[in-house]
Amino acid sequence: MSTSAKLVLADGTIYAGTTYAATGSVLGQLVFDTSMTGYQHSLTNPSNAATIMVFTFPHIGNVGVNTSDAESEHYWPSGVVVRDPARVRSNWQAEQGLDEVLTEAEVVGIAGVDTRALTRHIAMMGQVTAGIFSGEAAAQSDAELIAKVRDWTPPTASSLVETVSTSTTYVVKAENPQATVALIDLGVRQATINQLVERGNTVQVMPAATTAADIAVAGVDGVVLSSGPGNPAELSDHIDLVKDLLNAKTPILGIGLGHQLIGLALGFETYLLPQAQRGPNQPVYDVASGQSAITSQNHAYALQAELGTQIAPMADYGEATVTQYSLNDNSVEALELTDLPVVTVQYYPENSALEVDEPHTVFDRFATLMATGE
Amino acid sequence: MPKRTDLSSVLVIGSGPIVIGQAAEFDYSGTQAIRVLKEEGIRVVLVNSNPATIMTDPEMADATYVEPITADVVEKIIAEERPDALLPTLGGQTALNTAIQLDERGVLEQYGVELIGANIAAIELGEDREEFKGVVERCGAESARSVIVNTMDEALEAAHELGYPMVVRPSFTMGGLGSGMAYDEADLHRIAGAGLQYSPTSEVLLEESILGWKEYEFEMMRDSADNVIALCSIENFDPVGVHTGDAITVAPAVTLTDREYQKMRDISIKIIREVGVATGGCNIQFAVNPADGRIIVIEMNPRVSRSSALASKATGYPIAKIATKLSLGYTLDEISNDVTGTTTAAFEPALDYVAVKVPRFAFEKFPAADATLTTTMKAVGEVMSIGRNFAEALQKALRSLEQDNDAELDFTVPDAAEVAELLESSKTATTSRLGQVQRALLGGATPEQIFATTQIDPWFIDQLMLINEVATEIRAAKELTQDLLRYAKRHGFSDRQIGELRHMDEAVVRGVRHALGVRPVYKSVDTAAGEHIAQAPYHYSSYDGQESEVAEHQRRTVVILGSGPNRIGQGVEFDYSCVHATMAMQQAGYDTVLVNCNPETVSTDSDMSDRLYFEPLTLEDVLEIIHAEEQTGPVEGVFVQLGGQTPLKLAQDLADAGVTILGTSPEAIDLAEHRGLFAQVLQQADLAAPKNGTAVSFEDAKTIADEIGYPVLVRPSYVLGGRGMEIVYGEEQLSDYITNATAEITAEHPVLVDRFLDDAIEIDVDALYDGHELFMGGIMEHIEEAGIHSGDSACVLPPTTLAPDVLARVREATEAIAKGVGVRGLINIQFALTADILYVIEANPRASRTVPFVSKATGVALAKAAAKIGVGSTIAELRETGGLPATHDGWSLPLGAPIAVKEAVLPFTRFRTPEGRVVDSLLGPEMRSTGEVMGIDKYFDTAYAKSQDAVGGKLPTTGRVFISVANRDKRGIVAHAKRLTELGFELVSTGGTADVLARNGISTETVDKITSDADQPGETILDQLEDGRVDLVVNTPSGSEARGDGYEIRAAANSLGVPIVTTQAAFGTALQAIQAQRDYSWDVTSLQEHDRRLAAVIENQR
Repeated sequence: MSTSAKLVLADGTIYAGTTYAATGSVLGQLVFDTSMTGYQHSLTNPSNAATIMVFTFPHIGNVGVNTSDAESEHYWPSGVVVRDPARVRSNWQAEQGLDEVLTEAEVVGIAGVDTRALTRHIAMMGQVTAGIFSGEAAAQSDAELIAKVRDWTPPTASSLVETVSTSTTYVVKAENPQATVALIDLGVRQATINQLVERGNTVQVMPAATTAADIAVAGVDGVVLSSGPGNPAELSDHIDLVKDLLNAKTPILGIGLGHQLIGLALGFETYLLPQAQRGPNQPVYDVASGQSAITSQNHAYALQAELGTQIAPMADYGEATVTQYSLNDNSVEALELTDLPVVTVQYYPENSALEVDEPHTVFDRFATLMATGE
Repeated sequence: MPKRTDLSSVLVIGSGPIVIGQAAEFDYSGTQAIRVLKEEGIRVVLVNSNPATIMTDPEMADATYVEPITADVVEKIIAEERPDALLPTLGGQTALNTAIQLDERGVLEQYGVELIGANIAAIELGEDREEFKGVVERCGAESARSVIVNTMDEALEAAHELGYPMVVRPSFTMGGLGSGMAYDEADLHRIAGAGLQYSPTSEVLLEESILGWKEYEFEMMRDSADNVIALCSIENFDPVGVHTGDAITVAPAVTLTDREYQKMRDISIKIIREVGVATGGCNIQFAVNPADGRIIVIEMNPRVSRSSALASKATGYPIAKIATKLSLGYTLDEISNDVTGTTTAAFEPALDYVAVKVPRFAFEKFPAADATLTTTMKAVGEVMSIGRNFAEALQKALRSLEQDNDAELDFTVPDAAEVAELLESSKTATTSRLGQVQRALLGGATPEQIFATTQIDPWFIDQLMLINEVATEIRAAKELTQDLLRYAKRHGFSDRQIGELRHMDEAVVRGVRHALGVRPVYKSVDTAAGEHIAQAPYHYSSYDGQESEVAEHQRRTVVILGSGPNRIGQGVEFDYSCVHATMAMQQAGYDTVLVNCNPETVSTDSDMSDRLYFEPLTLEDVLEIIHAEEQTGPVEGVFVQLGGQTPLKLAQDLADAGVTILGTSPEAIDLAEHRGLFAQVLQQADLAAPKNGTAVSFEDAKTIADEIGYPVLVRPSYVLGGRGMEIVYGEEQLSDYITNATAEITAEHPVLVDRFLDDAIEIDVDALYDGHELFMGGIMEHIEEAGIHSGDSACVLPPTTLAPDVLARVREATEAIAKGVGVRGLINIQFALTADILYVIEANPRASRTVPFVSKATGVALAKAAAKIGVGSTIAELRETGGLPATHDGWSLPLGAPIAVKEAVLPFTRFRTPEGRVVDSLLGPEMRSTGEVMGIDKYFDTAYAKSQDAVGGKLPTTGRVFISVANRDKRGIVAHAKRLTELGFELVSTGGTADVLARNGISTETVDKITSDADQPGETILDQLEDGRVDLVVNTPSGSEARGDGYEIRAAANSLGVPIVTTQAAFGTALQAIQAQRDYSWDVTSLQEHDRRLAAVIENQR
């Protein structure tokens, strides 16, 4: 049995466990992930930056990690909570053990926790701040630990986005390019880049601080606003950037955070969901086809809009239609504009049933918008 | 898309008797389907020949036909009922095959019956292997390289291309019947030869070996809007080579990267669309090469299957229920998720636990059978366990198996020599392999060595090492601390196991554990891994933290203990009684709690009870559940008399722990079960039992046998399903029996020696007693003579050849025993009648295997009444309130009451000797049947004919009959043989039987006995059988020739599906049935109609 560690919640609840990955102390927002496979994808997803991730499936690390499954080059969460970390890795692709890479990345972990009770606690409370303390850090009194957790100031959305974004522009070329797109990296996942490239887009991945002028200079056919972390309403510079793009009638694809920023630019509001949508089994209803699809999502904020077609609050941008919504809570999952070449999705569109053999994926729709403007 | 409005009645086809590969899971799915259809206001017509099912309860469907599931019979039902649609996807392969036949014959078209939930093209695409390969290819996926053959020559040619070993699979068979792995040409001859016969299309597939690859299964669902979801992934602990029904499996898959998972999910979605499964569920099996991740699609089932029941229980997502709604036109997003209450059925369940399934086998019943696990399924049941990790779930599952503790892991450290042996034997997949691997690791074998011999995934191997390490820590620790106990419990160690490791009594461990406050909490299966806050009433134990999710309850709670894994001797019949008790108790205003670990059952449908605990049925687990219930509300007591021997044997220990036992008390149970005490009960009632004695040595046994005279019936003192029971005809055989006894004979485990009543008629009764009066549920007269286990014998209710005074004596004796024992609820008694003396064989103070049969045959819900008696109702009250018939009972059934015949279904063709031959099909005192059917009609002869048709042994009405009987039966067959010739049958016979018939003026064709003598090249009966020239075999065994001709003949008849009669009594009834089939047209009548007719007869009598 390994040495002990503590997971301390701001409300004073303490879960005992054992050390896992890096030892030390870390504070952050608790988020849970209900995926039964794909912990590597979640841990390398920049949207999870600066969080403490709780995995609801008990066995984590079984297949190790490998280069091709990384969504980015870093392990982003500050902390991880798992119940039964794997002692061996077993998969033909495995290159390293998960505990090994998390330790290298200084992600502080705790194992052996009743992750189900914890998850129910988070689901009930909504936003929960917590700290993991292990090694010397765990020696402090509970009261001291709780005080530390309560004192924590969450990082601002812009600092998060800045942290996860690329610092310089780089280009990923398609084999037979049909179009060139600028992808504003707000915390992009490799899967998004791969999808764009596979569909014949040469992708210029640009830093979060990119301006409309920079994009104009790049001479691209369209712009992709990636998914990423944080409260979208705080990102006023990016909302302004979107407005500039809308005014220029630039074809835009927004995913996740990008989708929310476009909504904000259109004058809609965003709100904190009573229950964050995280995990691979989020059902989404597509109004046009009458079909539902199981999607992968990871967001706490959502766009406030009426289902159906409406004039955007910023009326100059014309009509906006909510084309898809969540079957769990009716929250907005996709938008399309009547007068402007813009499509957005809240979920990760790279792997969901609707996309398997549907010709009109959001990527294809975006390609059409770039090619024809409608 | 909302529900269709053009369907007002639907025909559902069940799966028939429980057989290996098609078991109680189809009762679970069928019952769900019927409930959904009824809720939707649709008239439901059901056909299922299996009376032991919940689905055939008269109150389930609107018209319930307990009739053979054949195209002929179902056509009659369609003609009678004119349903709008047929739902064939919930009754296994039987229902699907019947639907295909009805379609081929044009019956569906003729009567305008629409197939819903499936279409014939999709079924054929999914099940025809060659077509399916095309599907896989069109979906951009790979199949194993393969060749379809229709003859042996083609098979041999294909072997050159594919190389050995290769897999041989016949088309259109269920549970992998007839499949196998051919390592050389001899194997190929044997397996493909049989396979060509099993396949209804004489088609066999040969394919490249993927032996040792990782095996997975995906459960999928599609709706009419083309939404497809992946409900559950299942990973096999045993690599490819072991039928998935025989493999230990884990849900969800634990050794896949997300990319691999998504790839299989994508392929599954494409396949379900390409095959065109209209709506509903299907499963798809995959193999993954552990070396490079190459994925191969093995097969799909375009219907609800065994694994869908498992997946439903493993995820909390009710597949059959949703599939039924989809077949009515709903789409997934229109159906609510009952568990969360706030979300829809359009989602993929997230698990925050691990569910492990372990199969239960019955090789001890078939000593001659080869216990190697292959691609032909041999398991007779299964258990599932849920744990917060794999180790916990696996160990809970192993103790759920309830196999005299053999199944649980053994932590005795082996020496180097034994490690080498264990490694060697683990090369072959058998039921012992898990234990061999775990002990080899304990003795120092490396994970690499284990992988090399077994190809079990290294992650699983590490989990076994983890369990070993925990065991070692428990053994080495100075004392039991809170931390250590929690650590042990979180890896699934029972109090008993901890006790064994520390040389302490289980009760002491429990005492220490409770004193240290280490007790389980109960988590829920909520389909969403805690993401949505739900009050799911489906629980499993965990030693995580303090949060228990059991809801507070105000109403008094009745706990019903289930029957655990299906096995020979204890099957779905007991689940029936448990479910009925739940219904009755809910109706009586109680909260009901069910405890069971069998994922195939209706009782583990969380809709059935107020709370379901999916837990092992051991004392420890049950006590903790009762504790948890007491913490959350008032508990009335526990029923142990409904789930068979499994809960019954906990009665005394539960009572000792202060638990209230409802119904018959533990003291009364002891009076019936304890031989000495029971003898006193009989003596007081002036009833006779066969002479008997108890022996602890051969000398003892010999003395007793000499005193009472041979033949004697010998058996171990504690038996279930006649385990180890044998009829012994002489001293030599007695000596062999004692020498080869399965367990050591000791004072605690003596051998019982009974006088064997030759030529006796066996009588079975099920009755209710409330302390004041008896309600006779039913009296069953066995067709086979005493000596054949009652579970394997056909029987008839009401008795057709017993005189009224005999029935009166049976009733008196039953009442005297019920009173003497002190029964409160159900009692089952077996009698034997010989020379007009009624002997009491045994009494079981609990629900018996025949309760559902009796209930269906008489229209009286006995288990419900028993449950009510358990909480204080009297028979008089039940008669008044409609719980029991007001005026009659099973003893006083009037003439004109329907006649019901129960027939057993035997699994002999599943079991092969190491040489690859079918095991012998003789009936004896040891039970071997897996299930049963009921034939019900106005008269015995047609009812019996129906029962024979329903077990797939439809009796011929013309043709050739082979007769060869033992000496003691020769006199008895003459008249029967003569009648056969009068009916125009040709007779074939051998040796002595032929002579007897000839001297009686009956002409037969005489064929040679089977012999290896090269100088006798004449045609033998085997040749005729193989040529299809024999339509019925009558062969009774003589004691000595068990390995001789008789065996060969019975084995061949069984393999070829020729009906076979092995007792003289059954010959007589078969003859009656043959004649009835020629004389009368076949009527179909629903149970509801039988009830109406019975009521009319009773009304007329008054």
